[in-house]
Amino acid sequence: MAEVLSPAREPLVDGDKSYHDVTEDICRPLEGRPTPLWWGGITLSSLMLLAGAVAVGYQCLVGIGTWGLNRTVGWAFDITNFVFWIGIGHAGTLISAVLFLFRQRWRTSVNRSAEAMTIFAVMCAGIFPLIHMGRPWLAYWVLPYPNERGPLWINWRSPLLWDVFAISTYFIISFTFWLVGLLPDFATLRDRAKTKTRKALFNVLSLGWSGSVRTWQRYELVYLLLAGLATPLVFSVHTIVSFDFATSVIPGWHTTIFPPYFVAGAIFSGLSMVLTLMLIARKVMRLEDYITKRHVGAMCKLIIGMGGIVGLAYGTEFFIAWYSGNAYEKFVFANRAMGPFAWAYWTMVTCNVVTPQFLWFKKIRENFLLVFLLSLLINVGMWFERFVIIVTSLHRDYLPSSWADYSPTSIEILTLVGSFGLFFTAFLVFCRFLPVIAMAEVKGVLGYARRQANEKAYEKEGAPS
Amino acid sequence: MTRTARLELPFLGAAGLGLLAVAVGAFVAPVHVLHAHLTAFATVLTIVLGMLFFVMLQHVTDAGWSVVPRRWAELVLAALPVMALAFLPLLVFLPHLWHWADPSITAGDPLYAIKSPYLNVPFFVVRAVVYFAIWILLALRLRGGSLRQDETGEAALSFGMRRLSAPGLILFGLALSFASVDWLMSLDYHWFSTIFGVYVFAHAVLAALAVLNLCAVGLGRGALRGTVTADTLHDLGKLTFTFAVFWAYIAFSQWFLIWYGNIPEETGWMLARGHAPWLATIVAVVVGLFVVPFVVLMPAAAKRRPRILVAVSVVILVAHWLGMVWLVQPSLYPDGLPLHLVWIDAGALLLVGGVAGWWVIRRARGRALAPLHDPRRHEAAGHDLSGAAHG
Amino acid sequence: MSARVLTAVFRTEAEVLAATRSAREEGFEIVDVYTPYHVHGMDEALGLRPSRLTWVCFLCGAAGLLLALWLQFWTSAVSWPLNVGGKPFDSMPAFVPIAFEITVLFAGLGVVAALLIRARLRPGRAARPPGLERVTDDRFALVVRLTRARPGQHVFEGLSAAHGAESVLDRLEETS
Repeated sequence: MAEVLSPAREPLVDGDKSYHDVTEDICRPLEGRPTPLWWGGITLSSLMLLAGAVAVGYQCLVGIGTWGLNRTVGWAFDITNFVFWIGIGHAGTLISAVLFLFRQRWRTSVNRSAEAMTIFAVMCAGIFPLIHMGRPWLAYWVLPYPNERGPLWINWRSPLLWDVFAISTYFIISFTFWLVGLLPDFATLRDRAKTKTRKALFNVLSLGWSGSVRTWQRYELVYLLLAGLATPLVFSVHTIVSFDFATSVIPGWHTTIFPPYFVAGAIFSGLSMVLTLMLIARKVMRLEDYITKRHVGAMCKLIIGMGGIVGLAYGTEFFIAWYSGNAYEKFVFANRAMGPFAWAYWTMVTCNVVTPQFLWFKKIRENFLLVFLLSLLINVGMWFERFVIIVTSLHRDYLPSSWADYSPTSIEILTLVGSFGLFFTAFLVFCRFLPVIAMAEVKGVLGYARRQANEKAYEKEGAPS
Repeated sequence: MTRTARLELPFLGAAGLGLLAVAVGAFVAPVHVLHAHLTAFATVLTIVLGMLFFVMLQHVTDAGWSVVPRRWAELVLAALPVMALAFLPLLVFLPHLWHWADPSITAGDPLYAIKSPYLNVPFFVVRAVVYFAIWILLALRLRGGSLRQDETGEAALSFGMRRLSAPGLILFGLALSFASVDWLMSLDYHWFSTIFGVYVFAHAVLAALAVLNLCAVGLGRGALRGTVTADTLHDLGKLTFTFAVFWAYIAFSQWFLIWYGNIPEETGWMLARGHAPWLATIVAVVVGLFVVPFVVLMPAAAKRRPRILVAVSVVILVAHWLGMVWLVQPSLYPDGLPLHLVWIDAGALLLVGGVAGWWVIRRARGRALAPLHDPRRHEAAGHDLSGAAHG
Repeated sequence: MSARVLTAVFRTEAEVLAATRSAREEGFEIVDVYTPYHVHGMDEALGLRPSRLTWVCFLCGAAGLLLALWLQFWTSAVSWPLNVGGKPFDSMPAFVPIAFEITVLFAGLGVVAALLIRARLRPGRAARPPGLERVTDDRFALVVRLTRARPGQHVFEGLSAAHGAESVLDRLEETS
C-alpha cells in the first residue's frame, strides 16, 4: 500500500534515520546519567514546588483570609490560575486527538510531551479549587454519595459542580490516553533494558505488549475511539469552565460567546506552552532531528489561527457590549480598557493579538529564539486574559460605595510559583524516565516523503503530470 | 461537460416557477414576500459562504484529500454576484423588514437612540457593500486562481492562494459576523447575542457540506466516476458529522446561557421563538441539523454509502432552510408561519436558489470538475485513508 | 504433541507485508506477525476481521449517559427536591454537562478495559516467543506453524528469502 504523496511534502524527521536510530536516539538519554542542565532545572523547579507547598500548608492552617480577596472581589487569583492551567492542558489533547483525527502527521514528534503536559497542567489546575474550598480534607463532599445528611445531594445545577466532573473526567481520560499511547514504547524499553530493575519495571508497565498484529489492530481502533472521545471532551471542559462565569448575570461574564471563545483561548494558550516546552526539550534532550522547523512552523501557524479567533472574540464582545445598549455592559468594557486595570487589559491585548502577528513571517518562524520569546509572551497574555475577565468584572459592581481594588498577597503569589514548580518538576521527571517522543508512531511516519527529501520539484518545474 | 449543461434548464425552470409564485405573492401578501425573500437569500447566501470558508480552509491546511471537492466549492463561488443582486430588493423595502429603519416604530425608543449610530440606513448600505466586496474579491482570487492553474499548471498559484487564505479567513469571519448581526439579528433590534455570528457560521458550513456531499455522489456517478471514491465520501461525511456536532454545540451554548441567565433583555427573542409552532420548528431544525446526521453518520460504513449520504444531506438542507425561517420570520409572525402562505416561501427559495444554481452551472461550462494541475492532486486521486492516522 | 514453528525476520514493512500475503496464499497457518509499529494494510494481508470494540465503546457510553441523567434527575427531583435559585427541580438543560462528561468517562474507560481483556494485556504476561526482542525496535517477524498438510519448511524458507528475510528461525512448540 504505497502512499501517494505530492513532491511538495517535506520529510517529517531530519537526518535520514533508520528505525533503530529512532529507538537509540530516544531511549539513550533515559538510560544514561542526567545532564547538568537537567540537574539545574530540577533543583530550581523543586525549590519552587517547595515554596508553593509551604504556602499551601500555611493557608490551609490559617485559612484563605490570607488571600487578597474582599467582599467585592470574591474571586481573583486562584480562579485565574485555575483557568490558566486548565487552558494550558487543552493543547495536549488537541495535538494528540484532534490532529490525529485530521491526519496531521507532524503531531507524532510532539504528541507525547504535549499529552504529558496536559496531565501535569490539569494537576496544577486542580490544586486551586481544592485550596479554595478552605477545608480541602472534606473535598469528597462534592461527590454524589449517599450520606448521613439526609441524604443531602449535591447541587447539580451549579457550574462549579460541572467543573468537578469535567476536570476529573478530563484528567482520567487524558491519563488513560497517554498510558495507552505509551504501551508500545514501554515494550521497547523493556526489550532493551540492561538492569534487572528496569526489566522488571517495564515488564509490568508494558502489560506484556508483544507487537502482535492482532493487538495492533485493536489498539489502533481503541486509539482512534479515544481520540474521538477526547475531542468533544476537550471542548466540553473549557466550555464548562466558561459556564462558571457565563451562567451568572454579571456584566462582562454573562455573554453567549464565552464557550467557543474560552475554548479557542485555551487552545491558543496551550499551543504556546507546548511550543515553549518543545523548544526547551529539543535543546535539553538533543532532539533537533525530531522536532524540526516543520513542527515549529506548523505550531506557529496554528497559533496565528487561534490568535485570530481570540482577537475576533475580543472585538465581538466589545462591539456587542456597545450594541446591547446596556449601560452596565458598556461600563464594564470601558472600565477594562480605561479603568485601574487598563495596564492588565493592554498587556493582554498586546500579548495575545499583536504578538502572534509576528509569526506571519517565515523568517521569524524559523528563528527559534524569537519563537520561544513570542510563545512566552503569549503565555503571559493568556494569564492576563483570565485575570482581566475575572477581576475587572467584579471590582466595580453596581454599587459604587462597594467598589474595591484587588492585589494578590505573597501567599497567593507563592502558590502560583508553586504550581509552576509542580509543573516543571513533573515535566523534567517525565523527560528523564519516559520516552518524550512516541517511538512507535514516529517509526510509522519515517517513510513519509523521504523519497522527495528536501526538493520541492514542482515549485521549480510546475506540476507533475 | 454537456451533462452539466443539461442541468441549466431545470434550474431555470425552478427559478421561473419561483418568480411566478413570488409575483402572485406580491399581490396577496407583499410583506410576507419580503420576509420569504430574506429567508431564501439567507439560506442560499450562507451555503455559498460556507463554500468560501471550505475553500480557504483547504488552502490554509494544505489539504491533499480535498482537492476535488474544493473545485466544486470554487465553482459555487460564482453565485456571489447573483446574491449581491438578490440583496437589492431587500434594500428597497428596508423598513418593512428591519423595524429600526421605520421612524414610526423607533420614535421615542431610548434603545434605538443608543444604537442609531450603527443601525441607520446609509451605514447599513455601506456595510453591505463592504461585505460583498470582501466576499467577491476573495472568491474571484480563489476561483480564478484555481481555474487558471488548470491552464497554466503553475504551482505558484497554489502558494499564492494559501497565502491569501490566511488573512482571507479573518476578513471572512469579520464580514460574516457583522452581516449576521445586520441582516438577521437586527430584525429584533433590541436583542443581542455575542455568539450569533458563530451560530450563522455553523449553519453555513454545515449546509455547504451537505451540498458538497450531493455533488460528490452526483458527480461520482457521472462525470467524475473513478475520481470520486468511497474515501472522498468518507472524508466529506466525517466533516459533515463534525460540523453537525459543532452546530449543536453552538446552538446549545446560546440557548442554554440565555435560559440559565434568564434576564429579560435576552430572553425576549428566545421566547418569541420558543412557543407552539416556532418551538416545533426549532425542534425540527435540531433533528435535521444534529440528530439525524449524528445518529446516521456515526458508523464509519454509513459515511461511505452514497444513498445514506444523500439522504442525510437532503435532511440537512431542509433543516437549514427551516432554521433560517426560524431566525427570520418570527419577527413578522409571532404565532407561527401561516401555512397557507408557505407556497410563497417555497417560491422565493426556488427563485433565489434557481437563479444562483443556474448561474453557477452556466459559469462552470467548459470547466474541469476536478483540478487538472493542483500540486496535491494525485494525493487526492489515490488517496488512502489509512495513511498514518486513519479514521 | 509438538509442532514446528518457523519465524522469518524482515527489515522493512514492505517485505513483511509481501511475505505475509504470499504465505497466506500458499496456505500456511500464520500464527502472528510482530511489528514495531502499526503497519497499515497488514489487517487485510492477514484477513483479520474488523474489531467489535466500537460496540463496547458505544454501549458503555450509552450506559453512562443513562446513569448520569437518571442520577441527576432522581437526586434533584425525587429524593430531596430543593429550590436552588428558582430553577425547576427537574432542570434537564443543567444536567446536560455532567451527563456528557459521564458518557465520555464510561465510554473511554470501558473501551480501554475491553482492549486489555480482549488482547490479554496484563502486568507480568510473557511477551512473545523468545528470540524476537528486536520486533519492538526495528525488525518485523512473520511466524507460521507447520501443519501436517503441505506446504512445508522449504517452501516457507524459499518464500521468505525471496521477500528478503534476514533469517528464518526454527523451533518446536508444545501444543495440547
